[in-house]
Amino acid sequence: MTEDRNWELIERLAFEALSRSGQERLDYLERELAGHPRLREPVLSLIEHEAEADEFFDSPAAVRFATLLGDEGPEADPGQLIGKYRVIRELGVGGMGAVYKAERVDGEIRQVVAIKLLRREFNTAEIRKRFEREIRIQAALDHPGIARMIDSGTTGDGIPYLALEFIEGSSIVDYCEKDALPLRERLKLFNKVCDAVAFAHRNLVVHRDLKPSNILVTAEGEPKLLDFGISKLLSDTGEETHTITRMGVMTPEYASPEQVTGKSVSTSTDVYSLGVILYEILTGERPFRLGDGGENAVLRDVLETEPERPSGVAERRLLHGPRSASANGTARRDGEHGEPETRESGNADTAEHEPVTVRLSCAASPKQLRGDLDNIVLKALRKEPERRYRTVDQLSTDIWNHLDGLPVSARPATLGYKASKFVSRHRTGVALGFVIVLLIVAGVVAALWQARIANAEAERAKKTSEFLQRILNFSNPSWISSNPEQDRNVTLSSALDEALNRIGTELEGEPEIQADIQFTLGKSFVYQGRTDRAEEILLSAIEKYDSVYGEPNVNSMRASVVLADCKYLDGELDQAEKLYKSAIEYFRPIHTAKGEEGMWFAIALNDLGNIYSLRNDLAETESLYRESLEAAEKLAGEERFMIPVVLSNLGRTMEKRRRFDEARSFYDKALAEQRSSGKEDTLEHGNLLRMIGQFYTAKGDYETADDHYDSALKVLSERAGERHQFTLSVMYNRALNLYRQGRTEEARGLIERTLGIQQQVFPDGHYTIAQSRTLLGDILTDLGKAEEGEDQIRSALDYYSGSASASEYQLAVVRTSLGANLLAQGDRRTASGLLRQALEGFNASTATDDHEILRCRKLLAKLGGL
Amino acid sequence: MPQEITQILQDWRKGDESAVERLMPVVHAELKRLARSYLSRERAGHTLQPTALVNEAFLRFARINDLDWQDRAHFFAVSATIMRQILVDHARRIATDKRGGGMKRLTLDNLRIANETKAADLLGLEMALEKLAEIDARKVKVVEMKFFSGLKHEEIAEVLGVTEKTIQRDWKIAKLWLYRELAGTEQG
Repeated sequence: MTEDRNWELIERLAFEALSRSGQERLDYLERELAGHPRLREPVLSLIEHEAEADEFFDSPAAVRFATLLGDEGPEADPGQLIGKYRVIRELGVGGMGAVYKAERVDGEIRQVVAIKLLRREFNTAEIRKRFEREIRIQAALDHPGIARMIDSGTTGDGIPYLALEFIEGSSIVDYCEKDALPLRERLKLFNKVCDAVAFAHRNLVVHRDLKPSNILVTAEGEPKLLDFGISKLLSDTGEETHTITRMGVMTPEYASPEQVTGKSVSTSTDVYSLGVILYEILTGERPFRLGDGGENAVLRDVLETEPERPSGVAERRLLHGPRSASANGTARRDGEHGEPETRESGNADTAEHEPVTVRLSCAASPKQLRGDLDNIVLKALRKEPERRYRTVDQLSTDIWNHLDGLPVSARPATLGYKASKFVSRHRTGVALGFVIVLLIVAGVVAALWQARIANAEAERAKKTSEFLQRILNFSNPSWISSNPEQDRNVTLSSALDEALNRIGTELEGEPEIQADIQFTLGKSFVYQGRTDRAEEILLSAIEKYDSVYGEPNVNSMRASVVLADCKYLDGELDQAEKLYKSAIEYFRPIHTAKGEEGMWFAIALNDLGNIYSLRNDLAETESLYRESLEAAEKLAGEERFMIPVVLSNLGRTMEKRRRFDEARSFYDKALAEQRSSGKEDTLEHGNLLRMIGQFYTAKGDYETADDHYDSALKVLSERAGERHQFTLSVMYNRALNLYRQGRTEEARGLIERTLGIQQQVFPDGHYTIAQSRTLLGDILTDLGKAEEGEDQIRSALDYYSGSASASEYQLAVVRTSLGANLLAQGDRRTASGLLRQALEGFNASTATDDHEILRCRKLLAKLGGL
Repeated sequence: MPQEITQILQDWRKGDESAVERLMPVVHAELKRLARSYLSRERAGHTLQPTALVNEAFLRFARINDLDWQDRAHFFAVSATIMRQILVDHARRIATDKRGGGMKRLTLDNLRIANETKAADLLGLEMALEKLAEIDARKVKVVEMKFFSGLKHEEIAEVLGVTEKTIQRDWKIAKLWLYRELAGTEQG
């Protein structure tokens, strides 16, 4: 080995190099290693991690590894006396103490007890105080479901101990498993545990460390609660809570979010841990498992991840068997023992013997768990304490109700959230935001009038309404300022931002309401063109809906469609397509059932059609639009708003398919439908005008086209502002129209302005930016600035070549532009290649704009003349 | 006990090699006791000072004035090895327990998890040290005295009979070499 033989040299070079810094070090190494190329790697690999190495050895081993020394063998050996008890054997060891099976030696009757003895090295004042607290607490809890305290005292050398009723039994999970206990019996057993915990709560004691190994079930089937080692007296001041958390004695997989974050602990904490246990005895799995990611990963999951629905677990296990050990690292130390074993009580603050996840069976079928039990478990497991059952009694009442076939409180209110239904999707922009808020309030009020709505839903509606009214109050003062037209945009945006900021605090513990508001606001942001903000809001809404209702559900599907719109507007067409498709699949079978479903079905179809249209897959586009139109025409009232949208899209498609008369007829119908429903001042109307303008541009009727753009801009700039996608599109179309009229300078001014805004509003490489760059490139070519133009066009070409969703047609257009440009620069050979490629592209696509093809042919003809 | 130690050290100086063997268990017990008391001090909320445990042990065993520097040097050298041995033994036991080979002391509390990680670190380091010993045994001695015993450079220089500058270099290079070894093992 090079290193062995040259070790001294390597060492010297490395050390010398390290005593230099910066360029000097590099120079030194360069110089010295020049003669020893084989030493380069050994030397460089030594010195490259200097900082990390120093840090690793920074604190002495005795300090760093001191805790290893604390990990000792038993404190007390069999036969040894602890007070008046003789140790029989060790039962378990934990971070703070050990538990022994022991028998009393001074009495006439043989009494077996479990003795918990504080570990010698933990016999400090602080820990002793805690231990004494445990003794006091334990003494106060006299309940058949709680291991009884028998005695307490101090050993000869001053170490405190606690003697408890010795319980022979299995952990609750093992017990359920051992006898393959039927579902009903499991629930009844669990309710007995709830009774014991509720008893402790009534005595102002929170257990704080509930887990299967702390709940033993006797041969008679009676559960006994053990180990109040880290329990808390509710009457205590909060001071020691943090100490406990810092000490980190709770068991990560059963710890509640508030324990993980060190926040204040209440009876809800026990509700949470009971939820984990119930989850485990129902499904055979824990909601969050200690896996390869280690403790931190579990803790993160506890804080952030919504647990899988119990019925989902059952379903998965039915299909695929238990989650494999290697997948989540839950293979336990005693995994090879096969049988769940009987255990004896008294494991004090140990977390010993958590049962083997992988060998547990699932107690129930997905069907048995779906609905009530899913809802009950998930309610107990909510992240926010105040959204869980308020008391353990409520949890157990719900389980009794379920057992008796009565309705449970945890059932989420059925939804078809009324308010948002009133808000039409394309009603956007500024004043519209105000309208949205008003409509929601109105919708909520209307919903309240419905006699049949459940209490929960009524409350939800009321809270939404109150919240939005507060937001309205926030934004009102500026709305009546001296220049309302100008202030509006700012004010509404900030009102919406304010609303979002407040959702978290004001509506904490109300995920349905939060999600509804996020959905509504996210929607508003999307159609204001603020897609960056919208995406995160919508994702959050979807996540909340899915966790509340399970997936798939109408609410999250609706939000998915809006998210898809957001992606579409951001140019992420493939992602948008996926979202639309899954929504379409979801809505198709149910779209005739209710107006709302039909509306969203029509929307998703139409919007997916838009994507196919961008890709020039016109047959598919047409069929999607037609299906959308069919669905939309079945709707009534406000929900018919999609009809003109789809009609205009069909017009555009017919135009592309060169069926111009049909196109014009669809456009006419669309305009008529909009006018008859009083929508002449809407974004859709503006957009429709733009599309018709485009139609005329392509036909070469530039004047008529410009009239349409003019009207479109009037509506859009007022309704949506200059930064809106629709407005920007009109600006682009208008610039193109100007360019084709030969009004090159005017076109340049407009497209430069458009591009400038697009670059602020959209991410780099957005397809509209590529489109504008192409046009600007053409203009620059014509203005004799071919080199500048080339940069623009190449940047557009880069985008289209790199974008999976770019069509042959779009590529052909840009190649034509680049060909024209290079021709102007005298590079005939490259130009010729590009133009031939472009022509092939045009031929392969359904070309819409004759002008582009003609241009390509003309250029080729010019070259061909050579 | 101090008398005992003094006697052992004097025997050792006279060339009695068995003295080392008699010294080991005594130092072992004392170091362990000290380390555990450190641990409980840490538990009680005190921050551990990187004091040399070995120094403290030494002070307890022998009045420093009674011994010349050679005794002290020998004591340091032996104690450092013992300290390394103690820690590695504990790490081995914890690692074995984890694999389910040891007695049934199944705990999964935080202390245990932290310890399992530490044990793995330490055992990795031990393997690296064994490898380093084949290339450069003195550096391993330096690591023992510096890292496992917390001795100062001048004390180590005294024990090994080299200059402080050499110790500095040995320590630096040993850290780099060991770290590279540890990092490499992790990747592999």
